[in-house]
Amino acid sequence: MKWLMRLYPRRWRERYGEEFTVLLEQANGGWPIISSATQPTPMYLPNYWAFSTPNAALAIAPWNQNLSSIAASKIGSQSWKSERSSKKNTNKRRSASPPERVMDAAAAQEGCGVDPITSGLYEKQQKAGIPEEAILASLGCGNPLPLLN
Amino acid sequence: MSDPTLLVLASLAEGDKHGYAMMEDIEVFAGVRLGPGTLYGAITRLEERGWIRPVKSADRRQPYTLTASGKTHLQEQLSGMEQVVKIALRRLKA
Repeated sequence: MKWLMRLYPRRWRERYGEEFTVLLEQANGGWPIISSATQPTPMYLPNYWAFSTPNAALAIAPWNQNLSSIAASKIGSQSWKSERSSKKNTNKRRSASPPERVMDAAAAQEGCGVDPITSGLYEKQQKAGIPEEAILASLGCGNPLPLLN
Repeated sequence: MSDPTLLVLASLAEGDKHGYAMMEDIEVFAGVRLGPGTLYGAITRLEERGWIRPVKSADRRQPYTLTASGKTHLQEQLSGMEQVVKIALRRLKA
């Protein structure tokens, strides 16, 4: 748990870390599932690693710190457009690295639109205040609670 | 009414609550299940604006209470929404 809390800003952690931890423990008894930004397939992890918002899911992605800048630069890049137009093989797309998958999702304009099972999991209020790139980066697949339900 | 901050304020209008109690209450009265991250995002913003404040707790759970300015803000927001609802209903009937 201490490891997880270190991913949040220190100031926020010092103020809300303890009570947020208690809330996670209360809200997720047992072993719920987690689907991180990099992992469309749910994994079983200890209860306090269950997240229900894209920003929380992104918090555990080791590459998320630079994701927004990577996504922004790729979206505006002509080289990316030409690269993507040559990607007609879906198997190749599935094995793409996370930033490339972000771009695929951006092209689909539906976050997790590439996956019919996990698409549209986030409510509007869950996306409020989160950069668009971050939502796209989560591929819409990072919310384990609807999957669990 | 799906803004998490308004939902939290509406929940606390009934009385002091800790995070999990807010989640449960909001699900009952609004039919919306806020995730822990969404809830604490709202709590952080509301406390920064002085609309809620933490109160003493006997255990690890941290209850919050609505401040006077929080009540005023909630009242203003609800009045605005009420006006919109009235007009929309009138237009639907016309």
